[in-house]
Amino acid sequence: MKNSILLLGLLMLAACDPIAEEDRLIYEAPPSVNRSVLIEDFTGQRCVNCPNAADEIHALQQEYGEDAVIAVGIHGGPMAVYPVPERGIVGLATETGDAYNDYWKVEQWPMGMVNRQGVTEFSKWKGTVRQELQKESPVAIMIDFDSKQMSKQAAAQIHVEGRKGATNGKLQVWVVEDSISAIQLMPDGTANAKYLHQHVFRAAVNGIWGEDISVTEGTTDKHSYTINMEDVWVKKNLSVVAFVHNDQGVIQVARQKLLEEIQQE
Amino acid sequence: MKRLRLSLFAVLCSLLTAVAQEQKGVKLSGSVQSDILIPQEDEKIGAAKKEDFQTNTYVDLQLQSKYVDAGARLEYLQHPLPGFENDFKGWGVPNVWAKGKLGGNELTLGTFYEQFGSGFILRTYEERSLGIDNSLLGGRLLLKPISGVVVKLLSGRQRHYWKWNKGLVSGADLELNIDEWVPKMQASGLHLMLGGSWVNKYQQMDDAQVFVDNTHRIRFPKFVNAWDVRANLSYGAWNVLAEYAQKEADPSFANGYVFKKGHVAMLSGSYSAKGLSVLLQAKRSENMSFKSDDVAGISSAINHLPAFTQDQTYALAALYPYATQLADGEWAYQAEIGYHFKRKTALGGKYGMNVRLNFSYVRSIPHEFADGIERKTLAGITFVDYKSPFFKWGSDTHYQDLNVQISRRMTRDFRLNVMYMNQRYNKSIVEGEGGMIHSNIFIVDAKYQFSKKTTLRGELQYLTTKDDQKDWAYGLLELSLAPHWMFTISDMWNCGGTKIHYYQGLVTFNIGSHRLQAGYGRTRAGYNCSGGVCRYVPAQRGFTVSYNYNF
Repeated sequence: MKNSILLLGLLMLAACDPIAEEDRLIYEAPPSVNRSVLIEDFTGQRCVNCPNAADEIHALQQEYGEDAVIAVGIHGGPMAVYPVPERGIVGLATETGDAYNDYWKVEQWPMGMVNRQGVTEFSKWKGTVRQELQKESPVAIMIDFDSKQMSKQAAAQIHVEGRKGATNGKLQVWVVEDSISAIQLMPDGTANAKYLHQHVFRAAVNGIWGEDISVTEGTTDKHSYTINMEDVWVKKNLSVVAFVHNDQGVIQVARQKLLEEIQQE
Repeated sequence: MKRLRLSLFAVLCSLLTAVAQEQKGVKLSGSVQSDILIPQEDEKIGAAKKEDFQTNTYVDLQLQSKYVDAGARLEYLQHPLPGFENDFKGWGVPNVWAKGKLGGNELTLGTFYEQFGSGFILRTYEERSLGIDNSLLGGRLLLKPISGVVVKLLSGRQRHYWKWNKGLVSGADLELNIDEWVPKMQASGLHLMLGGSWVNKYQQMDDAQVFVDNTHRIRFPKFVNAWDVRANLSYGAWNVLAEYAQKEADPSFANGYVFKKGHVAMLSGSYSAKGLSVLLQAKRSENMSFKSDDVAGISSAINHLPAFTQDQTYALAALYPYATQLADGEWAYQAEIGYHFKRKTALGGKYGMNVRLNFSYVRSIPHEFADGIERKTLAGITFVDYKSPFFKWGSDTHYQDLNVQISRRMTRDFRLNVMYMNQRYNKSIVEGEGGMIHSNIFIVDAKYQFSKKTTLRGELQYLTTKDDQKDWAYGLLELSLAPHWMFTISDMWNCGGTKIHYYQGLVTFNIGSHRLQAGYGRTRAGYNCSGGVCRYVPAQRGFTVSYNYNF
């Protein structure tokens, strides 16, 4: 009995692992940014913790730039709100967003994927963003618009340039909208009727699951699309997000603001 | 792999049956539980039909002998009922165990469940309705070296649906029944138990990529220790239990990755004599979420803190149930008094009457951060320590429930149970949104026995509130034709809000140890939230079949 207690005491001592306050953090050098990353933020207007995830995205974009960290807020699942125009409800859910939510089996909100490296809580995004930014991408993506078709439609050209070896995967093109003022439940339990929702997924341009793409080093694959503008979209806040993904996850992503591009032309 | 497991399970079943048949003193027992839903779409309540057939099915087998017990459980959850987490899906034989017994000592190898004290630092258990099975896979040793001493030692990896978490959970528990050594205490009926426990979580998280900013990631502790001390004193009708537990810094998503110790202290006193019972309880907990893996949701919990609110069985009384806030912490109080008015008295009437009054109150604890920002929930990446004075309350009431139940036999054949409940439920805290719901609930439950074999029971319930989905009404009729049949119809009607009826009809057939229930109806949707993120339990409509068999 005495021996057992002694052994137990020794085990408990061995298992002590207090970390001093000054040792609780490990310094990691800032990552080199070699490509852009995509954060798919599964969110909802009824989800009180979702603004925390949006803040996390904002902090990441402040650090690495909006071109390096490209986010899309996908409103789907039971926390999301569908629009009810006759009652003045600005809902941001779409059937496509619901389909993505179901496909990725998201059952808690907020959750998200960084370059499709698994669905995780937002507390883990910083680490995955760092890892993904440092990887080299075998392709580059450029987005152009034709300014003449701006009333009800926009014409977009996506150029996927092969930079290393052969790349097979899928090209997905989405429309996102910034600065939508709509209700959002907040972490303190209150409802903010004029919360500014950023990078909200609006529509899939080339089908809900994208289309096959194959590009080799030194060649450029060009794709043209017509975007049908919906009345509720505010054109000056619209962007197109295009990304290439395969079994390894998202391998490159680009975002281009519609109006900025046209003004430059 | 699963086919192999199934084959092994089949072989084990055959073996157990053969052994049980051939060996005297060997007893084979087990159970079958199968719940089936044939879902239908119902736009009105938002019920979707994603599969034609859904079932949660369990088969348990146990072999008991003088020196060795063994058991296994087959689970078929490949097409699970709605509302369970995605990882819940699968099938196989996750639980297999063997136990050697000698005297009062036991050695278990395989999967096992255990609880130290009230479960503050260790409670592994199975709760099928919630999809919880956090059993440990490893070894457990129970020793009774001398009279009055019970020692438990264990180590294992915890089940997370269809895999085992990498972290290792180990622990020891010692209980000393002092009165067994002091004849004077025994003679006077005074019992004193002193207990102490220790639990260690080992986790290899060197590669964890949780950053507090863009250049600093968290160094997670490899070992997290927790300990618990308790004393239980009972004398005649009196019983007092005091228990305190502490957990070392255990940064996780649920507590905002804060390096801060967790605590829970509980004092519970009761008096129970013929005709009168009194219960008084108080508990303060802080930062006590203790998991074998840093995952959201309800899985992988090593410990369990009881809610300190009364479990309600009536449908509307259970509409807004409270869940303990493990990471954020709380002050919880409960008081209950029960009294039996004797028969042939003014209040007791001809047959006597029972009255029970219960009050529970749960309050937040303060989180005083240096930056002055009030954070109702800690989930996320706060990383900043906070102060929380022990005796100070936080700003929010989490839950409050005052209910009184009176049950009385009115005549030889007629029993009546009435209940009133006043409830305040902080939906924002428990579910993440919705604010405070203040409701009054009235319940009448009457049972009339027409003959020795025929009984009719009816319930009428009404919940009135200005909040959430407004008023609800509920009615139930249940006809029992003993010993085999029972017919039940019920309707839960959201009369104050959506006007939706959640109707249900059930037929139950019992014979021997078999119970078969078939039904059709609707179930309402709701949210289950934990640690700052929520799990949604969808609405459902369809045919249900439930089969239970014990042998």
